[in-house]
Amino acid sequence: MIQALIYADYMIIGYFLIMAFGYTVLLCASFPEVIRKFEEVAYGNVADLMHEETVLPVSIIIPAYNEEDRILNAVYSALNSDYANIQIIISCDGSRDNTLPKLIKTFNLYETPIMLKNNIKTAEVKRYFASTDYPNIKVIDKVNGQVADAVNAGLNICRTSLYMTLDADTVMKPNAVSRLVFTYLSNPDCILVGGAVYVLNGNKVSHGKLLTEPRVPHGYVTGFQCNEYLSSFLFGRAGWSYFGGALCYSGAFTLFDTRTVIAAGGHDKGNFSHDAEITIKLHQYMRDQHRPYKISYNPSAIAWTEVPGSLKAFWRQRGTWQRGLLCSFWEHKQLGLFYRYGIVGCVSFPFYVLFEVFGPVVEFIAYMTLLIGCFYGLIGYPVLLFIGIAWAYFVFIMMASILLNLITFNIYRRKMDILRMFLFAVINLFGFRQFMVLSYVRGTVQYFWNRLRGRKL
Amino acid sequence: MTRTEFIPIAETIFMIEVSLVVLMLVSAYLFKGYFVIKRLVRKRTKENWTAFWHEAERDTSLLTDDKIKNMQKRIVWVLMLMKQSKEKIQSESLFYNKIRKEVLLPTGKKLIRKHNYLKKYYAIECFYYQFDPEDEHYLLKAISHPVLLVSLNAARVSFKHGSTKLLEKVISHLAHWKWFQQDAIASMILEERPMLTEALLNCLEKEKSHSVRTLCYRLLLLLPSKDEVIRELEADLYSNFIDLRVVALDYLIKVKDISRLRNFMYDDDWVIRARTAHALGLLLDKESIHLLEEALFDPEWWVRTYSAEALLCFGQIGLAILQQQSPKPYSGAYDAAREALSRHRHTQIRKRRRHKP
Repeated sequence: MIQALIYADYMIIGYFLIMAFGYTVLLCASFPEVIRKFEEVAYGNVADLMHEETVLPVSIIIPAYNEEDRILNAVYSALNSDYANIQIIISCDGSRDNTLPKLIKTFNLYETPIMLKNNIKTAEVKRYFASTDYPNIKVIDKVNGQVADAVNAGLNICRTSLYMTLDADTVMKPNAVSRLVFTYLSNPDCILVGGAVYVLNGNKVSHGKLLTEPRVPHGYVTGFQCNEYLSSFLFGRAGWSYFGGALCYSGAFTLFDTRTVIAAGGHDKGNFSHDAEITIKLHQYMRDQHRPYKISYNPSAIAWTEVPGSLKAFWRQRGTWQRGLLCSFWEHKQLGLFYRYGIVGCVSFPFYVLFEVFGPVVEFIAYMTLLIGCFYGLIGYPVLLFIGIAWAYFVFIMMASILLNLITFNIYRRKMDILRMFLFAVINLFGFRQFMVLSYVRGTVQYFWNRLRGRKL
Repeated sequence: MTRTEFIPIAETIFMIEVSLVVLMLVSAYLFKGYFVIKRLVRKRTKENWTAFWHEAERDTSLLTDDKIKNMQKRIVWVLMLMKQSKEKIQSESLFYNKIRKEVLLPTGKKLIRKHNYLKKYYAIECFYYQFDPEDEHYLLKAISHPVLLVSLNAARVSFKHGSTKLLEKVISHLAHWKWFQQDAIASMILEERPMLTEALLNCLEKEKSHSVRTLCYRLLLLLPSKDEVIRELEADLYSNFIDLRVVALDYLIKVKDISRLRNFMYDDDWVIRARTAHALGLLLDKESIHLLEEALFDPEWWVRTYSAEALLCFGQIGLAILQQQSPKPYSGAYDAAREALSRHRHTQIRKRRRHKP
């Protein structure tokens, strides 16, 4: 038993060293990438030079299920966009609350017939609305499916070559779409552009606009997530984007090439993490088709989204995400098995599986060995040293992303906010991280349990 | 490891961590200070430039050689100011002529040779305002640039300034682009070059490639109609390439050649049948009503749907035909008629609601 524990410890140390190396490389890559993007927009936005004729039309698809409190802000934020050529498609996914009546009343919607032949199969579309006040707003009333099903329904009526997904609880900056489109136009063979998403909780929003300067939320749960989003979007995705191997962009705010997504079969309606799923699917589809492609990221295109405000909601959300991720990775497992999938197959897919999907499981095992070690009285100074180093490393990574924010886009400007983010980074490892790991492990166990019993995943 | 060994190691790690964080914090603020200074300098420069621009508009003697050289270095500001003065630049004022010929054209010529896509883009923006026919080959090269920002804008400038020969080359090149890129180009054409017909007709005379011919028809459809005679139209209408057939058929619709159009209701391809049905409805050709009635029994959903929609265009006669349909012998015709009638009813209700005081 003791021998097994020692072996497990060695494996965990090895695992940690490889992960730390990977993250350090990503961090190093993200700095020049983020600073380059920052310099692109900070001293006179080149996107402003775009002529009206080259402003390609973009559809913004907003899936909404029981979002009566938030939907208007999302729609208004799309309407507030400074991009000249926008169509808004709201896909009402069988909401049971007043989402649809509220939309009808606010935007003066009228029912209109539509000829629709489904490119992608979705749940039945019951009604279709257009707005008398805003000719660029269309609303679909459909039978409830998943978020991805609602996006697919929007995709079926999308008539533009580019579309963007925007969650109903998300608001974006007015220049966000033009920055995404600029990135799309300035990268050859681009099929997807991701934007940066930050935490909306704690900020006042009216008519799709942030009334206050962005601030770190007061609650612990939201505060921790604030740090997590910052590091994930500012260094994780930027780093992967630098190498061209990013596997997940937020479904809350991403621009897609319509034809490519339709050709790849649309969003997977059976998957909770449809955003990660579609990115992986597009990688695989384009590589299988031997077509050149680029999946890009622009940290200067910014949106804010609501995150779970309580531990219970957070627990549920992370469990669901984990199951979704596992579904996606299992479905596209061949991506990691063949050399022909390039950097995605050789590096980013295995890295994601090892350190993002199964990372929490390994971390959970580490905590378990620690407990068992305590029980057998095996915890000595070397173990304490390792824990200290691990904690110091994670704090360093968090600090680095906070500082990257500080020198570039400076989302959170106030000194109090920066101090609180430092504080959250330091105390993250004392309780909250373990809770998060547990929620992921629960999701993993649920996934495998359902799989073994032949249940819906 | 003993406690005495552990404490100094832990202390060292702690010190490294603290110094790393402090170092990062200091470097972050240094960086930040650098960016802030840079931004302030740029802001001031912008303000100075804008003020100078407005002064020089009134007094062109301010545009000295030094200032012109400076402007060439800061071409982004010049381009932004040119964009802001969109209405004024059309005028033949001395100031704008000087800016175009002495600032934009030389800078464009210099930047178009660079590899960086942004520099190429700036060059093309310069050419938008002032273009030298000698640089046509650069423009043609820029059109095939993999970065859309460069290629789309190069096409835009070609349509504005290019000769008929260049346009023919551009069209042949654009034919291999994605459809949405072609759409973007199509939307530019009317804005920049309404008299493009000659180049398009030349292309249709010479080109054999179906993709080029398809694009020519698509663009021709957008231009003001002169009902030009296209010799190869008949061949294109029966081509093996469906995209080409569809646009050729659209051209037939545009020139309102109804008698030829009717024959396509019996075509093998359902896309052509559906398109024809739709067109016959829009053209209100009463002799085609029986064809549309027959098409309600077409095996393809789109043909039935479009035929029912087309019948609605004929008013009472069409309505009567749709109402006569029954589920037997063929439910497809009945379903198409029912859906069209329901859509018609919805439209009527909406119209009535709108007219209500």
